[in-house]
This record gives sequence, C-alpha cells and structure tokens, in this order.
Amino acid sequence: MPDFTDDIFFATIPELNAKLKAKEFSAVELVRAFARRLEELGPRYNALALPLTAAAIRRAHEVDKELKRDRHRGPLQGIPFGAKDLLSRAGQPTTWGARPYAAQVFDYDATVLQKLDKTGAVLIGKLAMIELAGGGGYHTAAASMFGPGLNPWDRTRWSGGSSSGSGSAVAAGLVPFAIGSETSGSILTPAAFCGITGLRPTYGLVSRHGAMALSWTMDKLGPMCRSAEDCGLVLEVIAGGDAKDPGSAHKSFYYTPQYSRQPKTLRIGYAPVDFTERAEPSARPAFEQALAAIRETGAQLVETKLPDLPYGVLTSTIIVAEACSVFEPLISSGKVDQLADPKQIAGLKAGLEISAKDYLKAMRIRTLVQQKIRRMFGEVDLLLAPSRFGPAPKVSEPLDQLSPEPATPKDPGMSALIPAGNLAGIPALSLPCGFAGNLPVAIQLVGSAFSENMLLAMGKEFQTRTDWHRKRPKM
Amino acid sequence: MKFTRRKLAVAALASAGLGARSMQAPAPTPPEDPNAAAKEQGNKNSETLAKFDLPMSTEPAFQFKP
Repeated sequence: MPDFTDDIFFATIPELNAKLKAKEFSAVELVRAFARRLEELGPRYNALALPLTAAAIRRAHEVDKELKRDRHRGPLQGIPFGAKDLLSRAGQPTTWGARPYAAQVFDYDATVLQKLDKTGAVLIGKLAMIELAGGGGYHTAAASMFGPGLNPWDRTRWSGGSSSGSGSAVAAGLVPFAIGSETSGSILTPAAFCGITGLRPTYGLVSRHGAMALSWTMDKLGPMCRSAEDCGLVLEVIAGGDAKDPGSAHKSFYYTPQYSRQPKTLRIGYAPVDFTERAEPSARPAFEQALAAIRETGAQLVETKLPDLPYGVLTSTIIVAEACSVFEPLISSGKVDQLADPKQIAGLKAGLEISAKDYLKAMRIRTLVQQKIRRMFGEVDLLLAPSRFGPAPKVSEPLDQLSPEPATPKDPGMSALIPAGNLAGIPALSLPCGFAGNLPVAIQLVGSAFSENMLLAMGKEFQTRTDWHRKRPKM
Repeated sequence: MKFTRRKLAVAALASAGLGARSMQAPAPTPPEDPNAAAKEQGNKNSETLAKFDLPMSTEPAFQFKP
C-alpha cells in the first residue's frame, strides 16, 4: 500500500490521473484511501450522509482491469468522488437531508451518476445537505438530519448550504471532487465558505434526472472541485442533453479553455461598492487583491450595476411556490413537522398559500430579468462580485442575516447577483481569493448562457496567478 | 370544500382589489413565531409584486431559454 499523504488528498484531477497512469498507485488503492478518509473524517464535519465503500472498491477493481488493458476513458477514470444526497443511487438510501425521507430508496441512478460511472469515476459516498435543499427557507445551519455542516477551516463555522457536505468534503480532502446543486446559491455559498472552486452551470446544461426537484425552473447540478480546470473536466462529463429531464437544453459541453478569448480582450463588469462598503471589513483586503489579480490578466474592469428589480422577492416566490407543489404531500400529511428547522417548516406551510396571481407575476417579472441581464452582456463579457460579502458565519448564529436585502439598499451594486443569476439561468464560477482571518473568501465570475468555457478559462488564468485554491485547512 | 358567506365575501373583496389580507392586517409578528413570520413575509412579497408595473404583453418565463 503506497503512503498516501496530504499531497494526494489535496491533488487536482489531472495530478491524480497522471499518478494513476504512472502506476504510482492503483485505482483500488486510491479509492480505498479516500473512502477510509471520508468515513473517518466525514463525521467530524457532518459531511457524510452515506459511505459506499464496498461498491466503490468493486468498481475500482473494474477500473484497474481497464487501465491494465490500456482502455482509457478520460481524466476522471479511477478518481473517487462524492455526491450530494439528493442524487439517487439505485438501491441506496437517498434522504434529501430530511428525516421524513430517511428510508427513501430509488431503483435507478441519477443521470449525472450514470455519466460519471461511464467515464470511470468512482462514487465513494453520498454527502450531507440542508434538508430539502432549504426550499422553505431556514434559520440555522442545523437544518439537516445530519446536523450542521461544519467548516474544515474552523469547525465553529458553517460550511455553507445547501451543498454543505459537498463543500466541506472537498475542502477537507475527503474527496477530490463532488457534485452539488444550486437553486439560488447552494453551490456558490459552500464553495466560497470552504475555499474551493464551484461551478453553477447554465440552466439545462446538466440533466437533473434522478435529482430531488425543488424548483423545476431554477434547479441546476454542478461540480465542486479544487480548481477551475477540475470543474471543466467534470462538467464535460456530466453535461449533455437528456430526454428524461424536461428542462434539458440538449447541449453538450467540451472543455476547451485554450480556444477561449484571451483575458486582455474581455470587459468585466463590477460594482466597486461590492468590494468596499458592502464587503465585511475583514474581507476587503482579500477582495482588493482579487481585483488586482483580475486587472493583471489584462481584462478591462468597467463599472456596472444590476438592473433594479426585486430579485429576492422573485426567487423566494418562485422557489417556494414550486417547492410547495413538489412537497405538497409532505406538507398536507403533517410529516413536514419532522423537519429539523422551524423556519423551513413554517415556510413550506405558508408557501401553499402563494397565489397563482403572485407566482405568475413573479414569472412575468422574471422574463424582464432575463431580457435585461441578456442586454447587460452586450456591454460586458463577464460580471464580477464577491461570492459572499464575508466569511462563513458561526454555526450558532442565525442565518437569516446572511444576504443583504436586495430590494431596498441605497446602492445595491451587484449584491443580488446570486438570485439574479439564478433567475436568468446563467453560469457562475466561485474562486477562492484569500482569507478574512483564518476563513476563506471568494469572488464569483458570471457569464452569459452557455459561456462556461469563457468563465473557466478566466478562472484558470486567475488560479495561475494566485494560489488560494491550493491552500489546505489544518486538519 | 364548504363556502361560508364570510369566505365568499372575503373572496369577492379580494377580487375587487381590496385585498382580504389588508382587511385583516396582521399585528407585527414576534420573531419567535415562525408561522406568523412566514405568512407576513409572504404578504410582503405579494405586496411588492402587486406594485410592480408590467406591460400587458409580458409573458411568464415558462419557455425558459436562458
């Protein structure tokens, strides 16, 4: 058995792939090492929902046989990974992080898992999440049947939600990458708080078949990784049309950053207020350095702001209305009371009363959001803002104050970029950009629909100039 | 579902734009009552949406093409 050090546990996908090809270790050895680490350390962060070690080792044996025959399936072959526990794995519990669904078992695999299986990636465990991905709103980090997601940088801090386990497992080197989901912020937030790189793809680019539905018109699945390059490699595998997903855009994705536009030709819109007054003071030096690093790429930074629209109200109305339709049986049966978070319970119950008038009005205003944001991308190529305006809050703190109220601030800048981007269905990439004290902070780059290669190329360029994505928490 | 005279009267007022909710304006909710807070938030959202003027031709984003 080779000596697996932190250099392996925190290696990127291409680095692990190179070592597998060089036969420094086998897929079985790699999978066994990560699976043991996930089982040992996952509970420390409340990150592990379900270990799948035995099945993973069986799969890794098959991968080793393929590698022996020089049958190469791509850079993910033999790489262990974790999946948010809203993705179904046939015959295994899929809890959606919620006690009422603790014994739920599906007899089919989610499309993204099928695709990852096919390329030789090895699922070693399901990862914890906020119950029902937080559809009704939630008050505390403990809104999960797995307990609060704890941050590997400081276990008194939250790992973010709703892809809590995906964020902390990647950050702690328990998996090389994970699959998360985002309806409004659930990939970007844990990626930012945990100091990893997370990609929210364009709506419809990745099939959601086999994933818990929270909001049919807003849900996306995406990779949470060590680097922008890793996100590109994973996205290439999981993207693609799927007749089983009615929201599928029926588009493929090929990771080709080399053909993307040079940074010096890009115009990047940002709001200075986001990096100064709106940012928490402890995070401002990191955000200033991030702006400087972006400028060094040669990209032109231009001041901009989001169109003045009630993004928070729209996302809340649309997500809660759709979630309450999805979970109507849970709410009507009273089993909703088994959820951990009283705010979530109350939000789902109250959501049943959202009128058709309000839902349709929100969806009509959403049309304006899409039109106006599409127009913004006539002026700029990308948008830039802090992913979150400060570091992870304490686990014991109420979470209601995390997001500034986007409907009423004096100078909103781009504070509502997460809900706005999700309403518009456009992609975003969260990149670690430094620390506030001992906690990571991050910037987000947002592009027009299906501009993932441009985002990832800019992210890769940023990460060649900085090493924040290489930092490791003290374990 | 049974319709009482009271329910029908409230529905009629609501459709006439008088708003059943404003007729029964809730008292400020204590933060410790999540059900009341959720309902109040829903009412606030509804008011914000109602105030937003849209061209009649604007259709909902059902044909979702980002």
